[in-house]
Amino acid sequence: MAALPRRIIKETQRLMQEPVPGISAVPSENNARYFHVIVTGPEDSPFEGGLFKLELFLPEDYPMSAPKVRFITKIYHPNIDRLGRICLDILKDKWSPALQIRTVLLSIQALLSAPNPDDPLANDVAELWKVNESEAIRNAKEWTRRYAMDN
Amino acid sequence: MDKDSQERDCAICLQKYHHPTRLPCGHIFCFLCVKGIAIQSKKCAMCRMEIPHDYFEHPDLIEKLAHDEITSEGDTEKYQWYYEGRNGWWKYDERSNMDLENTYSSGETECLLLLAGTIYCVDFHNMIQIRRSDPTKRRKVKRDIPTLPSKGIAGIKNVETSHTEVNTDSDENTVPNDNEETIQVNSPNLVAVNASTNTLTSSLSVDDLIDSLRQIDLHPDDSLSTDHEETLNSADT
Repeated sequence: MAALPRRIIKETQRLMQEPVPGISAVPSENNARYFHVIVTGPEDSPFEGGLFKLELFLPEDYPMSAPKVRFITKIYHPNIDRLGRICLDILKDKWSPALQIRTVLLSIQALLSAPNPDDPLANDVAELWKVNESEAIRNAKEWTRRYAMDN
Repeated sequence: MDKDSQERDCAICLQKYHHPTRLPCGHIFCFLCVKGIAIQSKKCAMCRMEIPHDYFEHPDLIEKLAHDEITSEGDTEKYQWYYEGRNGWWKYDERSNMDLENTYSSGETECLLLLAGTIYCVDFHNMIQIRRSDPTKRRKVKRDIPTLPSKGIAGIKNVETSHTEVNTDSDENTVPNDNEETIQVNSPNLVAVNASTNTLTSSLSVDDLIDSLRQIDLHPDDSLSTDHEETLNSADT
């Protein structure tokens, strides 16, 4: 019903024509503002080898306000809580309308490579990450194997 | 999509610059896109430099609106859509005009527009523009020949032949704050309708909303009229 802003159409077309390596974002058939996202775990991170599902929603005033993004796949990460909510500044107060779906997803992928336990969302995970990083990384790998790999 | 054409596009709407406007930091966006960010973050979308609060009194338009441009779409076959400001009519920008005209010509009863980051619904029946997030914000619209006298295009004032300055007076349409959409709602009936439907808008589609606007009883109950008071007050500040 609602006409889709040209910007969203253009971003969607570009995502299809020039996909970002390691990231796929496909609009839902019945809602062009809702994207099914898959991000691959970055190399040399505890999430390597995992395929992480996320959902991304473009609110009505996008791009003036940020997309809403959430992990659907369970992930052991100090900046992602058990509901999949992500603590990332560009999704909150550092949002800029010059950012796009692709840059947001790249930032999320980068967050997997660089967990920041000093700005935690999942407190227990962040705590362990600070006091016993090797155990935290072991947990992250275990969760990746258990929840983010098909077999 | 070649790189060059991407670089010529506005980083906010991802389309060719439309009335390009330069911010003090040097970054360029469409006039309406800058209005959108000035309402929201008040920072440049590229470098996050603050946009001066008086920026819209003297926007740095890269192509000044020539008087020609406003009247020369002389093609009498074409129609121009206008919206009402405080003391005159503004033309819609060319993109919105095209959307309105195409939607109107296809027989639809309304058209949704995204203007400066805000969604508006133009109701062709009543010839009004309603802000989706706040239906008390309304303007009259009209469809007419392109050569009528107007204040300018989408908040960019016409340049009088003798000066180059744009937007020298602080007209309500050029100021990127809430006032700009505050339209004087003359009919008390309309006010009552808005008050009683305000609380419903989030769960309704526009179609439902329009229907309920048409059907609604014009006597607001007390609790809702309080709500409405607040809406009006906040609009007036």
